[in-house]
Amino acid sequence: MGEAKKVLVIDDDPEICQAMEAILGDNGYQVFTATDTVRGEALLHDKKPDLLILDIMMASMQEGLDFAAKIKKKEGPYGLPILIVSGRPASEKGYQRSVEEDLDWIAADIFMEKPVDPEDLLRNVESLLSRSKS
Amino acid sequence: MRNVLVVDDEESTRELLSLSLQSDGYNVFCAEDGFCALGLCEKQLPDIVLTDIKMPGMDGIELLRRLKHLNPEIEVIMITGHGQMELAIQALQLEASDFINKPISDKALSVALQRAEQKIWMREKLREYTENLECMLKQATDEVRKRYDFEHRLVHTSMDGIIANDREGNIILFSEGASRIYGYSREEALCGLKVSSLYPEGEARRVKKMIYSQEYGGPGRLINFETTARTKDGRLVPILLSATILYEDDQEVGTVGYFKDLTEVKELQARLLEQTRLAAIGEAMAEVAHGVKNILYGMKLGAYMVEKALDQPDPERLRKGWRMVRQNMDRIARLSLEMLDYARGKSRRREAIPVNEIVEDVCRELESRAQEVGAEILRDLTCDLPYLFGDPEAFHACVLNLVTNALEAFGQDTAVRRVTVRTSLPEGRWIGVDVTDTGRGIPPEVQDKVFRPLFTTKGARGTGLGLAITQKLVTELGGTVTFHTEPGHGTTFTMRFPVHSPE
Repeated sequence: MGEAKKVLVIDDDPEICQAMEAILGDNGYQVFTATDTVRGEALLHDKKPDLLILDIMMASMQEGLDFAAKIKKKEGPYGLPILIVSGRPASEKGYQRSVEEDLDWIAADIFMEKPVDPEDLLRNVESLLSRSKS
Repeated sequence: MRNVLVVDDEESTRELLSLSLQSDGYNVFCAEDGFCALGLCEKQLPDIVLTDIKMPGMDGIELLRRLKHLNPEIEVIMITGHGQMELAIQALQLEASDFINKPISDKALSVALQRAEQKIWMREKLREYTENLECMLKQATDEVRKRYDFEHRLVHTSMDGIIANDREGNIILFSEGASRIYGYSREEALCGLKVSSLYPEGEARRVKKMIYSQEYGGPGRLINFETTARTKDGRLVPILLSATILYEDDQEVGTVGYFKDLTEVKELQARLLEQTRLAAIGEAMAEVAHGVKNILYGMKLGAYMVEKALDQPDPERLRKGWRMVRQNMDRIARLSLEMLDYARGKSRRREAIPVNEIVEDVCRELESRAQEVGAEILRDLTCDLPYLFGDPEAFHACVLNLVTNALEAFGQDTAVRRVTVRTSLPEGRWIGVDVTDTGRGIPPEVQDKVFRPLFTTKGARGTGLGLAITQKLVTELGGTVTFHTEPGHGTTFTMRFPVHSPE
């Protein structure tokens, strides 16, 4: 086993951040957390994570979506896979089209709806990381 | 150009006069006797006739009489010979305009013509003036009749009932609209019905009092006052009444009222309210589902940690996971309680609320919470505030919600963490409660949503009901709640309640 993969979690609920740190940490990932996108972007530069887990319900949903799109557009450390966690089902306001159609627009590699099962989350994280390796 | 007819049996006289008149600018035609003259007159009416008085066949007097009979406006100048004064006088009695003696001098002729012209001119002016006057009179009459018709129609086709009464309360005007509302015919109403019998017991006196009072439009007037009518068959009908006192030369002579039947409006309002309520419930359910999902997410993560920790075993991890589960259980409990709060009806309690005391209570209750987040709560209270009337628990909940929110408004790097609760008495008419924080402020894009039920910027930490409940309760207490925010510097929430005299 090589160096631990680095995962950045951005979620405005500090307790979710803590839990993710524990769960992902248990599974051998190095975890960084931020409760807002400004701090998240700083960590993106400093730590160069391999994966971003983003809750799009920040102060406003737009903030999360814009942030994801911004990261996707950039090269270098920004070109990392993104997993979006959302409390909104895909059919609701903000997503006029289906999630599949919108995936490129919302710039996520995987889109999960809350409540997310931790096992599923871990599986998705693993698959995204192995894909980016190859 | 005026037409002049010259009548004389002597050809030389006719020609002389004709030349003289033509050179004066008249249109001249001639006749040698009375019959010829009348024949010409039938073809074209002359303005002036110059006729010899002595002629064979029909003399000048007879011609004058017939001409005047034909048209009294023809001016006839008689030409008289020497010693015919009596005939001349007779001619004047028959309304000849003048006479001139033979031999005809130019001067005498021109004076006579001028006089005739003057008479014609005056008559024309008089006619013009009279016609004008008649026209004006007709216009004025038409105007008055139109206005009357219009007002009559206005009164009687108005959907609203229009009723006027004299000082003794006798009905003197009762429109068709009024008949529709009340069921009395116009005749019934005008024959001895008193205005007080149009209202339920005591209501007429109340309405009268309101007309003279400052409220609803000021003394002497009543605008959009909601009252109740009692119909002929005893039904009670909701009415929107506007009324005014009628004066004649500063003397009060009666009252006129405009009655709008609110039955349909009330029904529509109720239906609309119900529809709005159902729509709001639908929206609220979707939002509740969203809130619950957020909480469940936290719970699942906590439960996962607990399960893993049990296997390992890892007491530290177990505690962390279990705390997450517990906290999210508490959130669900809080959400359901607040939903009940939001959904429950208006409190019927109406007690004196000691504003400053309750503010003090809330500050004390939240002291430890403030310490946890490293904030201080300052109080800036105005002494001797009047009492607010309503449900003290509702007021307590409002202050508690606003101060709790303020304590959660600080960002991770907010240096000064201060919440100030201020009470005031602006203009002596309002009780003001301001809650100011030095927190992050509210981002512009969410400012218009903060009072919306289940809107939250706190992720899983908030239920999104706090401000919605606060707004609902403040409204029930008769007040308003507004906010002023500067992103990065903090927010002030302001509640204003009108000062009531205790009833």
